[in-house]
Amino acid sequence: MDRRAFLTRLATMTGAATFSSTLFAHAENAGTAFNTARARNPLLAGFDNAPGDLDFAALSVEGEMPEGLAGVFYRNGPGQHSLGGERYHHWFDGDGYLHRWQIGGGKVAFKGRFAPTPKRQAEQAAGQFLFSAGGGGISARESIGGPDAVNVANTNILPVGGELWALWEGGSALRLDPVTLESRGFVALNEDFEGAPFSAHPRRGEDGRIWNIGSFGDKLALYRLKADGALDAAKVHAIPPVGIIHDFLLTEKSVVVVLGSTRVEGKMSDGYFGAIKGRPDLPMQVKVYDRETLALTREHELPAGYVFHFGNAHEDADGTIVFDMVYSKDTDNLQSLRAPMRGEMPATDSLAQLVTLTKTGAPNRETLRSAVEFPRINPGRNARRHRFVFTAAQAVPGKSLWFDSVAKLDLETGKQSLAIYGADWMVEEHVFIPRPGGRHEDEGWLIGTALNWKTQKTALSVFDARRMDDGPVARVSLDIALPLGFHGQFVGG
Amino acid sequence: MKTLIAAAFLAALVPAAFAEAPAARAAAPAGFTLTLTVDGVRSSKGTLRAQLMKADYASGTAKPVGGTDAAAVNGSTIISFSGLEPGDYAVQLFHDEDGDGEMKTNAFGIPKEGFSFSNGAKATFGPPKFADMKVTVSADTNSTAIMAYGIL
Repeated sequence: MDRRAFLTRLATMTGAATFSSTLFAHAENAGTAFNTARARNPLLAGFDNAPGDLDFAALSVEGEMPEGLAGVFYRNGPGQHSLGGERYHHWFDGDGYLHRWQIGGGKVAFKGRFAPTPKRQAEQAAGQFLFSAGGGGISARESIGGPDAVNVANTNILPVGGELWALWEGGSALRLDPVTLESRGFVALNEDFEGAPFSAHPRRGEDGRIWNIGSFGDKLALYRLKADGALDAAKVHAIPPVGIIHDFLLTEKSVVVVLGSTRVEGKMSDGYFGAIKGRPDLPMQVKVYDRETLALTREHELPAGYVFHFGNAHEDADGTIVFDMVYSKDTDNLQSLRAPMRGEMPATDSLAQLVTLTKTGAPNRETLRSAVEFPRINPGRNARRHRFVFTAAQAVPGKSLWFDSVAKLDLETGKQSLAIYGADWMVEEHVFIPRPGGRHEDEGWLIGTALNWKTQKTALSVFDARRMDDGPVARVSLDIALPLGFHGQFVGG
Repeated sequence: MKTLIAAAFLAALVPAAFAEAPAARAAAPAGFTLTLTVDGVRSSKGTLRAQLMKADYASGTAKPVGGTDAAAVNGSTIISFSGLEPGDYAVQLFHDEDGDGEMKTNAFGIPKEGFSFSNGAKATFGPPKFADMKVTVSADTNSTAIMAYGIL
């Protein structure tokens, strides 16, 4: 490209029509509001900064770590919500804070580290935020050269090729040493996709290959990687500028992308996220792509709404696609997650739903449970028919300020069972680990973290997935509260 | 391409700018120099390729009126435009590190080579407004630009 096309191209970084510089005039001080609320509300410990490097060599285990449960449980989530007297306006903006829980021989060790991104290094050296953020509220002190200049690597982890990739959805994956969590630099998939968005919910197929999406403005990239992380194929499709596509689905034949009822069309009066407007007048669009050719094969519509997370999908021989999702009717769901930054608990209207898309008929939706998030399945069922979904949940839906339980939803019988932590806990995502040699889909453990707001301590708990209501079989408590995070992955061995 | 760049600037020239438009000073002598100090240049590899834009208040656009290349100097590089008529200008430039004459972008159109703007204007989630990179030239004038790189 020559320099004459330069600005036009720059403008496509977010969609030219929507660009305007952030209006900082009404960037109220979120930090003041948070600190006032935090003094009264212990639940807000979940939105404090992480304390920095942590190393605990031998933690005491309540109960007994199951024999056969050996490996490392990694988690990621935003851990730097404020710096130098400024506080971000959105829960998604903070630098990634990584957990590394090493489990084996009945023992547990913990390591906590911030994801060592160039952004974090620059801002820590400066003692202040330098770059405008997705949620706005921060004065830009430095120019943003591209997505990776503001990459916070705060959303998920992909264990691949003997290393870890810390994932964000706006830019490249950050390669990490799986033991020290030190940086090995950003992943450049190839020359065309260097510095391009690579989303935080890659999916491994039943054959070990990895699919992912990346979206920016009116472009959607589909990626297929070999099992070791090398790029196998990629293709860019034009889409409406919905703003964020957080997750997608994979079947044995297809990549299924659901576009929410949002459009980037507002002014960036409160960051890029502020320009993503809910459009309850628009249906959600389902794009089905062939997972080998990456070409569009069919499209469907679903009622207006917004989806952050999907559990899993499968595709029948007649082309019927069945998947589960956590659906929100509120098309401004993204904006509701600003609340904890100013010291308010976010509202949720989420519903776990099972969706059936026949090739030509109207879609069918069945609601399974309300007030849920973070669906996970037995990874052995990836892209194929699954029976069980595990989610963070509320024991009595709608009666808690956060999740206080883990739910097991049986898609065959409709039966639901709960592992109830209790009212003192804020429960995070729980990951299903199959028992080695197990024969049943639900034979294994659920592992996850939760914050006890009364004791102000974060704990790791393990449940037997076939005996949810027995309570945890093992629990390891840190002597410290860690901020609530997003997603985790278990690496056995 | 001219149309494209004009379109990009169209939104940037806010109506208020018209009110500030200098009255015709056709008699003013031509020949001023705009000297741009580009800071944050990360290597002496390749060339800084700069484009000079001039506000055209009659049409509400900014039009490219010149280009200058300068060998990149690690740290700071000086770029100058001379023989300028009075007016409101802006400079946008990129660091052509591989020297191929092109602003490399990835499949999303996101720049892979560093760039910067006059008047110290910052890119946030897109390029700055014309008003933020505007340099008014009515005598020999200095301005600064700070490089930003997307591939780290």
